[in-house]
Amino acid sequence: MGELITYLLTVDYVYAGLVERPTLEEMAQVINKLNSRAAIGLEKLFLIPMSPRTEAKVVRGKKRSPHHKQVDPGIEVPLIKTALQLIMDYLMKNFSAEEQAMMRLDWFIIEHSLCKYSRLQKTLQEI
Amino acid sequence: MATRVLGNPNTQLTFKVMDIFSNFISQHKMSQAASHENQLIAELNSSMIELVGLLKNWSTAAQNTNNANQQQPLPSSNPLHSNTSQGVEASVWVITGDPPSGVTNLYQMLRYLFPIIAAVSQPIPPPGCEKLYNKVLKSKDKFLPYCEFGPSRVGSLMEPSPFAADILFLPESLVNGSTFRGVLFNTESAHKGITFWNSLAEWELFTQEHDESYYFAKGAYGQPTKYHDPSNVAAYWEAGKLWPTYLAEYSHSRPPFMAT
Repeated sequence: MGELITYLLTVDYVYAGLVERPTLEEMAQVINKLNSRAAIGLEKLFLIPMSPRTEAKVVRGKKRSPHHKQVDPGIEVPLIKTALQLIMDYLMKNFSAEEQAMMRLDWFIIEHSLCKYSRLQKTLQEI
Repeated sequence: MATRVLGNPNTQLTFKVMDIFSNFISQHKMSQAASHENQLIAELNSSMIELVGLLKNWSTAAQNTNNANQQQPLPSSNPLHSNTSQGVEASVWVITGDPPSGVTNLYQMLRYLFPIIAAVSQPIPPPGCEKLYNKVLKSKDKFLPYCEFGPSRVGSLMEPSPFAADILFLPESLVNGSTFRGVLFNTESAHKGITFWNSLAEWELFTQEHDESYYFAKGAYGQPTKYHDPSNVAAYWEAGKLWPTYLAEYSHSRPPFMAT
């Protein structure tokens, strides 16, 4: 089973109450390891430096290879942690408790939002 | 400027660095402002020293705020409850109210799309968001940031569900959960809540009775991979046999996230 599908299934089991929730450190490790849309979302938001995974796309103007280069976790995980914390703090400050409960605000929502931001960026910029 | 520098995680400035900076400035202060230019430089040095002092105070105040926040009761589902890591950058914006623009951009997206999950009936897009809404509503599985409200996820919780409490410890839970994530996601079958089979034979019969597009969307996760493919379901049934044994290792606690 691939890493993305394993991650998504594990999240399902967290919501089912079977598996422990991840810590912030673990969530940052997951985002670094998946090395996919959530990390790209953080780059597009300028919350972590642009890495080889995105630079390659920008330079060549082609679609990313599925085997794009992973960034050294020792460098990137602390940056991702800081970014996730900033986002969580801001969302908790700007969404009411009722809204947070309704959207089920947690690390997974933030990871998922980062993925969607990377997909929706162009449309969002037109607003 | 200070807020922008410290609010930017890319700079990775720490107060240790700022101390070194402060010492450097102290040692290189202009002794006599002989010219107008030198006077300006001296004033600038003085301002920078004040700035360093101010930043130190902010750091202390921010730390106190964080400590206070950690003592406040938070919902048990709140991930901050168990988290003690607080970055300097995270602290500074709490005091100054000036987060990086990336954070506000992400918030804005969530705010724009919030009516989609909050609306009882048809959500009304905020002004200027019609195009965004058209895109997201056309494929909520692909674009909606609120993952628990995507139609596939909602479908996977309809009975019989792989994630129902009474079957979580059975092989069928892992097999059908894997089938949901590894095959069915973002298909009509998942949207209708058809996500559970009692045997491999039952699954195979289902695939014979339906067109593949009914239960499998090749680009559901972006680029196709070998891990997202209906041919993997037989392997899921084999792996499912190990599920109860795996969970038995954690009979007194929940399995950790990273181990699962």
